[in-house]
Amino acid sequence: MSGFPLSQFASLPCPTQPFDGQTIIVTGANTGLGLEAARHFTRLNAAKVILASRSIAKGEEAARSIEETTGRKGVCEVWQVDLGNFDSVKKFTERAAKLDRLDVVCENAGIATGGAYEQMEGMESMIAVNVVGTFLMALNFLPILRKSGKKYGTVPKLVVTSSETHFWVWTLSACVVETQC
Amino acid sequence: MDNRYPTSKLLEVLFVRQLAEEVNQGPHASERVIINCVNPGLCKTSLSRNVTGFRALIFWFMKVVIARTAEVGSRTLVASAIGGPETHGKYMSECVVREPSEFVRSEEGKLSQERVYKELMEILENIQPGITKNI
Repeated sequence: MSGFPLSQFASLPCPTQPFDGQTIIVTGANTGLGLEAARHFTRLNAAKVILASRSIAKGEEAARSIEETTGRKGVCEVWQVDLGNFDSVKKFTERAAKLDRLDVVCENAGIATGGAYEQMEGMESMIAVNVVGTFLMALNFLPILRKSGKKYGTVPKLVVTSSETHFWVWTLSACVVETQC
Repeated sequence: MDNRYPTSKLLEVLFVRQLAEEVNQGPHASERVIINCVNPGLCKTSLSRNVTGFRALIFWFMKVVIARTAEVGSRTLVASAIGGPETHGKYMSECVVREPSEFVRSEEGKLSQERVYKELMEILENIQPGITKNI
């Protein structure tokens, strides 16, 4: 199977590799891909799965859903974070720095606004959340992941949810990360 | 504006590629962390909830006909989370490493990648002074 849309019909194996003892963070874990990835990690025996969500209430609902379907209680924790608020991102990673162990961070949270132009942190909102907030978080996670890797003799992973829609962009204008274009 | 979402996703692919190279050459190169990015495919999720008009109709149609469930799409994230060193800096799709777009692999793409990295690192340094030392 090659590109879209044929790739949509590729058969994707259901994951079976255990995550025993691992601590995993998934952002945007209250719904969609993040929720289902967190459900897999919990089912595959991760010790702690942190559901990062803008809304604690929605995160708690996701945690309940995962507990019900996997039968594993006390594994999921809900932590609040808003990628469109850089102070929130910093506070989140400061909190994560106190974890004894961190094996995987799935930076899955992202937004698509449709056609509307909205600003967050003085930038266009999709750039603020999907790019600047996401990599502000990534860079803050690097030392935390390294420390855990050293302590436990593992190679931690940082995964960013991107998209095949990147194939639609053939050039980058001079003002990619700026506010008005 | 219409291109803004795909552009944000292209920036992720470019930045991850450059970031992976930079950490390989940085002072912490021996303390390995694998960084990759993943395409989950078109899934039946609420990501496109704010899309309106004719585009919303196209999305609706594509979701009915070819979209994966969120559960199947999430398998791609799990595959990336167990990815080995061969996935570092790479774009993954259908649970394996795949080539990103032709633009990313082009000479112009390479230059854009370096520029995006430099610009974004400056922005991040402004937001949080000292953060670029984490590379």
